[in-house]
Amino acid sequence: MSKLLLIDDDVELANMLKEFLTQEGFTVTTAHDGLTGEQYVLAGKFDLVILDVMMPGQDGLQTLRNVRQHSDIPVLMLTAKDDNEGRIEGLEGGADDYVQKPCLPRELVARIRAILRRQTSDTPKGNDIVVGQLVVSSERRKVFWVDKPIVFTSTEFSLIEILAKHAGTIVSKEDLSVKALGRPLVKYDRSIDVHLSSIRQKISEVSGGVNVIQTIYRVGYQLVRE
Amino acid sequence: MGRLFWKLFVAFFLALISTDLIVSNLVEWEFHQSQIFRHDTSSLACPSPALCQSNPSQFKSPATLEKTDVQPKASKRVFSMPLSVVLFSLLSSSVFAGVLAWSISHPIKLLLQHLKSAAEGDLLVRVSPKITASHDEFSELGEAFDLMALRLNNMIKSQSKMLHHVSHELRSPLARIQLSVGLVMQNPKKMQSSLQRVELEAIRMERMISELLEVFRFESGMQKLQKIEVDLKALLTGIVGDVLFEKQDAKLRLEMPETAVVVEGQLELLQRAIDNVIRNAVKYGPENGVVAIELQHSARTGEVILEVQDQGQGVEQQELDQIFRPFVRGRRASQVDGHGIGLAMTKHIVEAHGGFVKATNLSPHGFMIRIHLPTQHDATSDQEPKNWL
Repeated sequence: MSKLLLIDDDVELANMLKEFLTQEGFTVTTAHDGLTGEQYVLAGKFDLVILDVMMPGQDGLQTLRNVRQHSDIPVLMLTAKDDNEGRIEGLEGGADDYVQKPCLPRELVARIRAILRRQTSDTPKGNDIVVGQLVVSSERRKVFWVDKPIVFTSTEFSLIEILAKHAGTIVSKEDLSVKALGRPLVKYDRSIDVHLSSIRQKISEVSGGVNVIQTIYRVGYQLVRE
Repeated sequence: MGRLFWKLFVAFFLALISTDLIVSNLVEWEFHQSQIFRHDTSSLACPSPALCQSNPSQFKSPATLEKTDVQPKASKRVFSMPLSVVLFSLLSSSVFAGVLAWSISHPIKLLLQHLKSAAEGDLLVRVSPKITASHDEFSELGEAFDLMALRLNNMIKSQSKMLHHVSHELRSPLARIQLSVGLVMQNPKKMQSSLQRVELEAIRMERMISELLEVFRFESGMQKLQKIEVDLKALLTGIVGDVLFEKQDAKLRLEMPETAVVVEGQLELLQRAIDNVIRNAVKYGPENGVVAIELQHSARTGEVILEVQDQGQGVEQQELDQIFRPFVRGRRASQVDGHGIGLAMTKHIVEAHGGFVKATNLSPHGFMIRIHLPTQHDATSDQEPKNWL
């Protein structure tokens, strides 16, 4: 039974969501402000955090940034913002996925399950994937540049793992979305681009500016074999 | 140079040149008249008959003079003016007409360019100091344009901010409605409670939208104040009665002066402003807390002060000014039903009546809203509506 932490200042919505998710087989703990939620994340044992963006006091984005300094727990953002900026900001801050309010509860559950599936991915254990100096360990869900570890979120790891498995070939955005995010790509959805940009930056910081991910305009991405 | 410049130039030029020619000819004519007159009185007058007879060739008859000395040289004159004078008149008229036409057409052209920019959506354009240095009606026109652009820009910014807030605020009840539907689909036994929830959310949304529309109408000046003499004591008694009827366990203490307290204003708006404050105090105060309402009337300043105190936690210090903005709710208020429009409306209504509102945290705990209203109030409906964001 997966343990979820729901951080939302809308008490009524949080209670209803808790009721719905409990029926779906999750154990749900709620917090109604960013600071409390942050303390719960760092203290408790949760499998996933559902985090509302707009909250009085410490908002969701700040909470996410604080959490990311200590933890790579999967985070699903709930956003009522009607602009792409808010979503992109969330993804850049290290969120694994976002759901726009209002949303169908069934869709929310599907997104939660997709993220959790990736956490316990049934990738055959064993050999690490080595592409040039990049080492992707499916068993430990860790990535290294030679021997330096790179900290990725759950979604970022899934994306780099797919690219590593198909190194040297182009993987389309549609495939990446289905396999890594667990949902088909929708029009104007820039989640994949934002995640890949973040992955690039993290690899670049450790490798001293080496860019191993190539963008093929309007097609997809590929991990370059050296 | 635009068409207006050339029209003004031609008009000024013709006016100046014709004035020049007329004045010059008059001066010339006057000069000749005086010459003839001098000749008549000096040259033609014989000093003595003996001298005239002995030397007749020295003196000419007036008829002879007219035919010789006083005759203009027609080949070098327009009317009776030398050509050099005419050329100088043409040149000076052109210069003056040009300067005059430019000084009128240039500011108008500048203003037109800026108006076109504003019409295309660039409300950051400013005419000053290009035409406001002249300190005349044109400079006033420029300043008025700049002020208009500034206010329009503020209004648009405020409304787009508002739209953003509204869309967010409407999404929350919609999300709860969708969840209610999801819960019924999950378990049909929850039909009754979910339907009640949907109904409640629909009522909330309707209430929020109608309040918002009222504020917009009010702010845009479409709704002018319909002022009458309002008896504040009767108004307060009515509001307190309504609150107690709806929430019988509420503890309200009302203190009012013995004499009548009358202000000029729109009854239902003042009622809404005061009602919001009193209901907030009841809502955010502790379970058995007392809400103290005190009405004071200062005969000296002619000001009416209404204080509403609760025994709740108050708001955080940095939120004291913020809570009067729409959709802003104190962090401690987030778990109480509401959407943060009430106090914004109160502030807006009170300011439209020429008063002001202030929020204060009380020590050791408690919260107070103070409404100041003038009793003798000038025409506030003519005040420009302030942006409430």
